[in-house]
Amino acid sequence: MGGTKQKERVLRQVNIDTQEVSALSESLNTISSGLMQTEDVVTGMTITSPVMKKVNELPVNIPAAAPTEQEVIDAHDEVGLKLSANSKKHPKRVQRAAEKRTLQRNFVAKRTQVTDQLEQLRQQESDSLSHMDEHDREEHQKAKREKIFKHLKKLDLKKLMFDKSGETGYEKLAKHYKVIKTILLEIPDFEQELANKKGVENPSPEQLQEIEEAEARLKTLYDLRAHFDVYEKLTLNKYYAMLPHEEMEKLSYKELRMRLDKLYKEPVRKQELIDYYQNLIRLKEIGLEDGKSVEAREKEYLSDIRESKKKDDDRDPKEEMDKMAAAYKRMAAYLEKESLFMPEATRTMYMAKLFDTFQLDIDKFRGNIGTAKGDIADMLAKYDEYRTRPKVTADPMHALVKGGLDEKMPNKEDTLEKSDEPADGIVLGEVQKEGVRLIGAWVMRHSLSSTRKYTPFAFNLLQAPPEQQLLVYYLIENEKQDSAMGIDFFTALHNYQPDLSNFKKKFKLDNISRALRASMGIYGQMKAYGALTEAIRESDSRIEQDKDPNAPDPRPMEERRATLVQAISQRGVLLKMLYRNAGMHEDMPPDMAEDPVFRKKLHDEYAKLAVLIRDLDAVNRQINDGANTTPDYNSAQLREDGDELAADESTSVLDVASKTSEIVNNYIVGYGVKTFGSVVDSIGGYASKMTETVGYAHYSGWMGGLTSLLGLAGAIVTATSIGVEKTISVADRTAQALSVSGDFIGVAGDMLSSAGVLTNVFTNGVEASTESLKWLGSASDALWNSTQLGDKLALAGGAVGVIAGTAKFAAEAVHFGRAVSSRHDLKRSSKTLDEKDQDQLTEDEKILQRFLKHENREVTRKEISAGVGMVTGALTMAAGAMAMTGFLAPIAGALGIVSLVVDVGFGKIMNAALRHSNRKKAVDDMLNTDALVEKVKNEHPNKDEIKAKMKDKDLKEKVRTEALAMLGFSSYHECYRHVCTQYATMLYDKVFVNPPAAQKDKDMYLDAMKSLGMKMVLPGPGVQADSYKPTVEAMIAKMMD
Amino acid sequence: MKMDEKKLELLKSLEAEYKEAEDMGEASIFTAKELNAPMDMLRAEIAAFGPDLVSVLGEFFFMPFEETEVIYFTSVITLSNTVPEESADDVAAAVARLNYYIPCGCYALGEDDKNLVFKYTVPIVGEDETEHQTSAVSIAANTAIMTAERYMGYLKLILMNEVTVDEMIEMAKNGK
Repeated sequence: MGGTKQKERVLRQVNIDTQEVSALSESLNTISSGLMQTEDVVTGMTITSPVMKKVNELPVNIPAAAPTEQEVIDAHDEVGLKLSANSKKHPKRVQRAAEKRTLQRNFVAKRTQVTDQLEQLRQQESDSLSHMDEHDREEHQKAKREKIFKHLKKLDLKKLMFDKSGETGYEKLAKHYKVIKTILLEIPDFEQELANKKGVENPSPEQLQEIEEAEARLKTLYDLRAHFDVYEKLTLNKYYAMLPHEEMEKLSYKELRMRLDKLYKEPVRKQELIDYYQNLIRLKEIGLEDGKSVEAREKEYLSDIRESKKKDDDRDPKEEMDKMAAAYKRMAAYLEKESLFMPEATRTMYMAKLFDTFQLDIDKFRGNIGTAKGDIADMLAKYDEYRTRPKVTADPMHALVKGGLDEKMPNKEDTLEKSDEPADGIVLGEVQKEGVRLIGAWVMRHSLSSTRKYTPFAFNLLQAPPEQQLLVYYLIENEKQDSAMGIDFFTALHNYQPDLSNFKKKFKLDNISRALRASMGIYGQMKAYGALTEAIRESDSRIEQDKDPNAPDPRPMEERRATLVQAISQRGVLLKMLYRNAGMHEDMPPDMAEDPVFRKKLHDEYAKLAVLIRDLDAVNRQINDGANTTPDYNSAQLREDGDELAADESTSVLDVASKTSEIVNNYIVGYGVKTFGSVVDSIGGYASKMTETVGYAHYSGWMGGLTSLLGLAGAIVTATSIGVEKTISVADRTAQALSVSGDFIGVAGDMLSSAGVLTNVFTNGVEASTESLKWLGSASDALWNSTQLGDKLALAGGAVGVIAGTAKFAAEAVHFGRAVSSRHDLKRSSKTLDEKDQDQLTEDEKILQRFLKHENREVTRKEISAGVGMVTGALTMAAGAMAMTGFLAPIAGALGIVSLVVDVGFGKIMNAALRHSNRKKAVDDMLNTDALVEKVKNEHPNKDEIKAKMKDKDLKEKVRTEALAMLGFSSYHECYRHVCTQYATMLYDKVFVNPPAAQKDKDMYLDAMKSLGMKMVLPGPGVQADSYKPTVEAMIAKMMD
Repeated sequence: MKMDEKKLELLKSLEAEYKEAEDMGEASIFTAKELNAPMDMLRAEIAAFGPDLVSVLGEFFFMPFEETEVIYFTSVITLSNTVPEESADDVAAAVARLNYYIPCGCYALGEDDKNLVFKYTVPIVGEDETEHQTSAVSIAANTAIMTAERYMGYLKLILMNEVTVDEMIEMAKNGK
């Protein structure tokens, strides 16, 4: 079953262990250290930074005064709940806020009381324990653990949510605080006892069952603990008192993330509101609402645990061999049929690929079926022959068509990469590898038997690097092919096991093409991630060696320092890259990420960074004889160095990391920065500021985020790009659509291609301007700028003409549809005419004038009859559908598509073959299929035979299919959609996100967008970025019409 | 030849056409018995349909009327099984407005408001030559598919809550 979902839940634990629990375990430790075992968790910041410890102990300070009406109104206003100035409900709201604030104060008092009581209990127990001898003490503790285990195991967990009491969540917590806390404090003992039970050798089935159940219970208890911990923090927040909580709970994850994004960008942060939203998100992530959901959660855990234990290959050998033999036969027939078009070496590679995907299964099952007969025997004979013959690696068909595409395609699109092995630094688990293979084998088989044959596509897909295939399957299984995010590569790699049966349910030919195209964008990030991971591994191992006191040749301190700086820089780049791909503001705490494994990864890297910074500080002190000087940030120099680095246009993350570390290192040595201690101080700064300004503050577990943690290094890393290799368009569109990033961050990828499109077509008219980057700007700004090739394209002369021209084209298309037009149009048209000097009209214009007058009468008359109106409308609409060329015109212009066709309209014979014929023609223009066909005719090994025997039409179909497969498209429709997507994305960017400076250029894009005829919501005062219209999706829908 | 056999034969010729046609997926005839319905039916997967390039189900059949002088060939295309409850009113309004204009066939919301379909019925002379009837069936089915697809983009904008019904009609009327 869905491995992801299961892992998701399993890994929720991991996350809770590390983050949710960190603060809790801190408090638990203070309550009962000694009584319970300290959990061995990576608490990162909490443990390593003394400042964070201090922050953790900040007292909760609820103001004694009742809130004023203005305060309540302001709080509503801040969260977007608009209240009218003199609402009659105000006094009631204020009263409720005052009551809640009193409750908050009472709760704080109660909390202190309960904590004290529990501490007393702990003290008593600890005292009595100290009087026992070791044996008795152990016995006592053992008995206690067993008792707790039994107690918690029997406990009806759903009752902990106190559903039936009719109280609000807050009242429950206040009322039952002691019960809840006591139970949660017992978890470590429960965990320990479970570990003991698991250690038993040869457990009985009953024992095994008990262990499974206890495991599920423990996980549910963790979730409960996290739930109450977050809830506790939430209820002590200022906004909890001021706002109607039920309303706020309804906000979606997306909405909350969007609000957070805005809050993080404000110059002065409203930390308390941020905390409030973040805790709302955390509650959603934990997802426990009532007793029922607790019960359901435990059941899920239990079934996951059970399922994960039985995972045998229960496939029937004979059946599997039959399936493979059938696929083999189809492949042989297919290759035979294509023998003219496919040279022998290509055919050999197809068959070899099929056998590659079957290999493990054939080897596994062939021994179990007795003597092979019929098709199976044929397949095995061929299989053995292929195993022993030397591998063919050159595919002449591929070379020919790829060469043709490189040469002839007017606007380059990337073709699929090919590799048998994962890229550097990327490791697939055994289960993942096997999952990829099984799905690959199925896709290959399916491609041969499905009604819509797609074997060339499958063949190209299966040659892609394994981790890219993994990503594709991940996207399909999770139905993310149209909503992929950059960070999906991470989840695919670390939190996903391919599951063939689930894949088959989700698979569609269209899906897989889109998933593959999406993966092509994201794959660049994936490779960069691998390269960085590898580099970090090397730096880390170097640092470990340096730490070894017995190492034979200790390196000089300066070199060690350089490596530390390097490791920090690399991590900085990595974290920024991960944050960016997840669409998260970099000061957000890691647990705002959706994927729990990703959360853990972020957290671990932060923890490691904190350690490295401490090490660096120590090394620095040694170099500077223990001096702890305050750094002198020479920002001018830093800016200069950074500009140089940015101007380098380096796109490799490794380059960025190494140059960053070089600059930082030089900076430390050359400009008198002697310590990184200030980094820790800067976090402290946040903390003190918070207490000063907010007063009300409650520890959020997160202060400065990436920026302050990295301090100096962060500033440099900030401005350097993450090397967007190429389109991660889908990902960015999603980020934008989710509004997790209001910046539309990496659309740059797509801009690359759109820009490329225009550059290619109008090279002469375009001036490239390399605007230097904003240095030390906000991270997303800088990222945006550094990757935004679109801006380098100053649309001069020709390009302006093209867009203007296409807008005109669109207008004409509408005009065309005017044969029976609406009055509205007529008025507009005649108005233009009226404005002209009536004596100076040309003959044509006079004719038009007469025509308009006539039309006007016609329209007046027609408006009386419904029937006539209906037909009129119908014809306009039919014409409108023809005028589809209007929307396509801009694309057509940009792509240099000349032979754009008018779709078949009504009144023409409807024929299935004509359906979508315009799409096909447009795609042919884009690929330059005719030129490819010519090339094949001239250079194909079988060219004479092809010319003699194959119809031009058939050859064209084959060449197109081949070329599209190389580009990752399963059909021309998908390719067509891709073009529309590019265009919509470009328009969206140019109108809403990054409008060009000159008004004329702005208008040009605006006009092009208007030509789509959709309602527009433009940026302006009070307009939220997420309400701009039309959206990219809507534009695509319109263009695809 | 009995009329029922004739109808089946006509469906078979359409099936054959669709099995060969590009952009059509699986196509097969379900007998009245299999369907437990009063008529045979051709079901075909219409691929790469509409702006989302999804596969939709096309169902083609003859109305099970006793009449033999005129037979009624119906095409029903299921455009969506999942019209969200909150959009149902808008979609219904949009469908009603569109139906006023579209030249043939109509969009319709199913009984539970979740199914959005397009349907189109044509009368065919029962005693006409088979060749004529075959082409009448083919033209009708393809007209249904292409008409349904033509305005699907507008309906999608409504489903996406991108435009109001009035805006959509305005767009459509202006040939946008």
